[in-house]
Amino acid sequence: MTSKLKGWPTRVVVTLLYLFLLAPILMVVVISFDTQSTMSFPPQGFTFQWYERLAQNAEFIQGFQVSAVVGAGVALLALLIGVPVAVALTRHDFRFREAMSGFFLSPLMVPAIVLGLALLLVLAPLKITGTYGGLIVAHLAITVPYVVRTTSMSLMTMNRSCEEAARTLGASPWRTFTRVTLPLIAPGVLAGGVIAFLISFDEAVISLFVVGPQATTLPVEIFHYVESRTDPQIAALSVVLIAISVLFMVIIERAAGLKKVLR
Amino acid sequence: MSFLQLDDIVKEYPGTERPSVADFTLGIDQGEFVSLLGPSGCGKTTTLRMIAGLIEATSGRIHLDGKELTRTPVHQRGMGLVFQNYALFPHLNVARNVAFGLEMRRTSKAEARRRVEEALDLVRLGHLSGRRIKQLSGGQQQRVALARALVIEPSVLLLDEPLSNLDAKLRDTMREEIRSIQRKLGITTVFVTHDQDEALAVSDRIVVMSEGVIEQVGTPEQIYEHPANRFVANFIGRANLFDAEITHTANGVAELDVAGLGQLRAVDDHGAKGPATVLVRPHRMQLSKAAAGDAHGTVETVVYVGDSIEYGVRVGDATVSVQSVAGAAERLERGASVRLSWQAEDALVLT
Ligand SMILES: Nc1ncnc2c1ncn2[C@@H]1O[C@H](COP(=O)(O)OP(=O)(O)OP(=O)(O)O)[C@@H](O)[C@H]1O
Ligand SMILES: [Mg+2]
Repeated sequence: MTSKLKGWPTRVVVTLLYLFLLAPILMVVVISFDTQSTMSFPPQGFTFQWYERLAQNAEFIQGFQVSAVVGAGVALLALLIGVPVAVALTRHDFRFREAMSGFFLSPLMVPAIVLGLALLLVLAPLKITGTYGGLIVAHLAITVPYVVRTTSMSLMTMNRSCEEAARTLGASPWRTFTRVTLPLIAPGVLAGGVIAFLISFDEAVISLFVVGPQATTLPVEIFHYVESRTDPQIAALSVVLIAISVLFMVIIERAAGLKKVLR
Repeated sequence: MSFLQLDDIVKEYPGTERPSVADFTLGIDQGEFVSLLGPSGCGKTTTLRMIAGLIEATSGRIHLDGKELTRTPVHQRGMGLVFQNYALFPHLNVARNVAFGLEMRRTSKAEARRRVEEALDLVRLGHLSGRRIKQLSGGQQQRVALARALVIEPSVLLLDEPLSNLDAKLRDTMREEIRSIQRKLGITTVFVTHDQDEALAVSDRIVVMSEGVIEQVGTPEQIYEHPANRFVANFIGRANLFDAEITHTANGVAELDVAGLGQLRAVDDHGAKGPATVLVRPHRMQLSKAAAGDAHGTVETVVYVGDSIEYGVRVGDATVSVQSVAGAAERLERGASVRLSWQAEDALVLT
């Protein structure tokens, strides 16, 4: 039955759909090797020069470093906040549980531009806009919810009697968590961390509000760059970023299975 | 006070209309094997988990070896619990699973290794100590769970329907094995089951529960031969219950006027006159062919089950089960008119 449904018309449609979705990415890859000095199609020749220039572009390299540091910090802190919150939400019953659950998921429902403005209003008086700290705090607002979600999912699907067994065998609540719960939910936690990093690394809208001269992230640098110039260096940079994203996705897939995490 | 003493334990889950366990009082002696037996939802697991400390009793007290442990947290109770689904740690291999409780007690490496080996040998799994949990059969997982609970030398072993996930044949071997290990170690054991045969076969004493309360506590013989009430009589083994009127009692034997069957006698420990219920097990019923005018009822069903024949006899609007040894008596056909009776010592007056 299903094999009939997967006959050639379906296959053609699915293939076309994928091509349509992937076309822009393929185009970017092609353009990044083009000899023309503005991004246009079809390509006129083949060169590595845009990659070479990219490697010498101080702003991009600086931005990359800022984004990597911020992303790592965000991933770490999002885990340190998100995992305990997920444990509280799934393992304990308390008066404001529902409210807390809503609170931790709400940033995902607010448009990024509104959130960016709100964060600016909060962070500016604290004088931490334009710093690593400010960026990290801003990004935590949108990444903690993801960590809470992936971790909660793992906590809800794991066999709870394993925790109870550990307790009867003499493990204190804390050791039960570190020796049994954490190893069993590790794939979900790791996935949450990687997603947090990627979101932080990719985030432009909120960052635009809170970046400053000392700390400007890569997406913001790109944004500024394309405002004035349109050479294929951007395409080359995009290819590098795509490669990094794919690498991370492979890590998640290996650790937990993408489908499970994105459910 | 017994070794493990439960006094007036009550458990009320919020939002339920009746307590899941009520007024539960029971003393268990050291080395005793006690089963909690009852239908689904009667509160067996709840009781067991309160003993283990996994859930807190709404009220009541638990003492172990004279010391109160009602408020002692789970991990300091030192009880071994075997879960229905085994709850083995999937990220650890067999030996590490068994060693877990010893690691928590900071037992030295060498001693831990020796005790893990001993425990695995006890459940005859010594050869599988390096296996992953996923690579074990249900019966093997069961044994690992048992070894993991026993290796910490628990004061009490608690088993929650440990055999219900095994197939029938394995269930019988495992229950014998659990019982023989229990005897060998002399460990006080509370065994939860809803299977009466299992409870009768392994227990020193059985606690029959229904709807959160204890119906009867006694040895398997007491429970079977002298059920305290209709519920126990019906739940343990098969039972015919007759309405009767006690006309006279002397020396523990009551003269009865049984509805539909006439004058009969039964064992009676109560000595009260008036209406009563009489219990007679199917294999203690006597059945004989009779002339139609003289009969109590007619044979409705005849089932030949090899060792015996099971008759369903209609008396008035009730059906009485009779089990007779095949070949010992004349086989009756469906529709035959019969008389029913019993020996006084085979019948029991219930309250
Ligand atoms: N967490 C809970 N919240 C509310 N009610 C509960 C909870 N756990 C159990 N109960 C109720 O308590 C009663 C006893 O449950 P328990 O699990 O002890 O039964 P059981 O005798 O072990 O049954 P089974 O043979 O099905 O395992 C049931 O009516 C059940 O619905
Ligand atoms: Mg149960």
